[in-house]
Amino acid sequence: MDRLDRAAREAWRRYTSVGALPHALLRPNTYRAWERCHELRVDPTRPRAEALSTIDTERLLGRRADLIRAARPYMLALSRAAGGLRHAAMIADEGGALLALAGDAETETDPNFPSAGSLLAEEIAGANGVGTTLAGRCYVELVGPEHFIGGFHAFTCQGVPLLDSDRVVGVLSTSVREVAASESLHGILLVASQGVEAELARERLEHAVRGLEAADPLEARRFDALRQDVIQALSAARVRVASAARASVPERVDARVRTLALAQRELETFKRRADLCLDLVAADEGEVRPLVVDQVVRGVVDLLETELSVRGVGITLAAGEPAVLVRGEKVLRKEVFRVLLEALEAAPTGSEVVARLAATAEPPGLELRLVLATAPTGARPLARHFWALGDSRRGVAG
Amino acid sequence: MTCQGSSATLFVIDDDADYREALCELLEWAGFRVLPVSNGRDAVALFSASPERPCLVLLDVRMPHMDGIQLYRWLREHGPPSVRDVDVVFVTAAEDKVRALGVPFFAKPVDPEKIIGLAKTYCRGGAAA
Repeated sequence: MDRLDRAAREAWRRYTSVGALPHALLRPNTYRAWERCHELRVDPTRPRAEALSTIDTERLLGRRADLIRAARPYMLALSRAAGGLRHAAMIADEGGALLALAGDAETETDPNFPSAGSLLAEEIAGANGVGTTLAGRCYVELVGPEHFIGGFHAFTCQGVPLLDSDRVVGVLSTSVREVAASESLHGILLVASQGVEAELARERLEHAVRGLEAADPLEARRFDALRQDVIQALSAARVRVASAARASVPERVDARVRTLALAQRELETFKRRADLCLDLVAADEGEVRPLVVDQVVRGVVDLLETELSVRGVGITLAAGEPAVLVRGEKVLRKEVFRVLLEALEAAPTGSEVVARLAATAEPPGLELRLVLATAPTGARPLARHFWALGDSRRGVAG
Repeated sequence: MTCQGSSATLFVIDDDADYREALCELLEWAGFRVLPVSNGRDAVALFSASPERPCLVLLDVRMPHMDGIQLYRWLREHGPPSVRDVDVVFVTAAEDKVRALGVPFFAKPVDPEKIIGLAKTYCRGGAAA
């Protein structure tokens, strides 16, 4: 990184002295960022970022309280992982305005270091860990003098864009004085950014479940129980990230990698289940398209994992030919959810339920049958759902 | 699952294996001795058989066999005298259910640093740092 640092420092010297953009001295992403800054006429000699007024900052923080709340535990974990070094973990909104930071006391009170309300978009603050991440919509690392403005040359920064429903809503970023320290934060930063996105999904889920309360309190209670189960995976992931942050000593490096991998897996589980739960709560039917019913059944069984465990009931899907239905995807998930829940409520503790999909000839269609496999008197039907052939939204496509 | 150099033990009672393992790891790395338990029924067996009094019990609500509230009531009413008044903090997503009990609780997803702070308060002798 020393060579990178020296090359970028020389590039900056040439740019500020003769206005040349030395392509060969900069990494491709940095060069593109500098090109943008040049076209935007950013002043490279700026000592610090511009900032909003106090009143505008307070309004901004009020508007983006959700994002700050979502990021806080992960910023604290990043700050802990940085240990006693000069550092800051930061959250910025989609326009590059800094919302909050967690760092060592010296950095947090440094008047030249960005603080809540600082404007870090590239057009204002040049290439930096927040603005350049937003401009490229991808992970960015900028080492010391790769920052476009001189005031940021003491720092090595990384940034990861945060997505909510495929829309960039902000950036999670770290800033440290040593390149090696930045590299050691890389893994945690990537998983932490997924954690922040998961927290935003959790807020969406909680909002959707609360929205049911007025219209159907019984349904709201049922989905609140499901919400409680779904957030278990997020809880585990949050704790894993905090653990990884504590494993910064060399003898725990392997443990940190393993812990972060587990956190990532748990965040994926949470995201999958939260998306499915949101589909079940949604009022619309979803996109009408061919759907593999077996996969939908497996997804709903996965969602009900805790419910099944608490009730002491197992559900297995019998092997068979893949069944495809043309149907609104959310409607199909709701139908499968209802019939599985109906079977679950009828199944005694300690029982095994078998779900079987079968095409029917008369009337033509597809049937999902749930039977109690462990009944003393043989298999006992618990619940069924039938999809008729014949209309474009309900028909069996193949 | 043990940690050297500590005396008092925290019990983490939660049916979610991933969460239980994660929390135990966090607390161990923070210097505490931790004993994981996967449901209320196993916890009753443990409390009944073991002479060890935990410094703190972190207890989930929704669990198979015996839920956290049933376990809490059993502890307070029928638990061995040595553990009947043990400190219990619920860690649950079912806040409504524990609010009525008047017992301290943390809502899931928990703030990990708050859990460590809690452990330091109740199990001061066990923390390495």
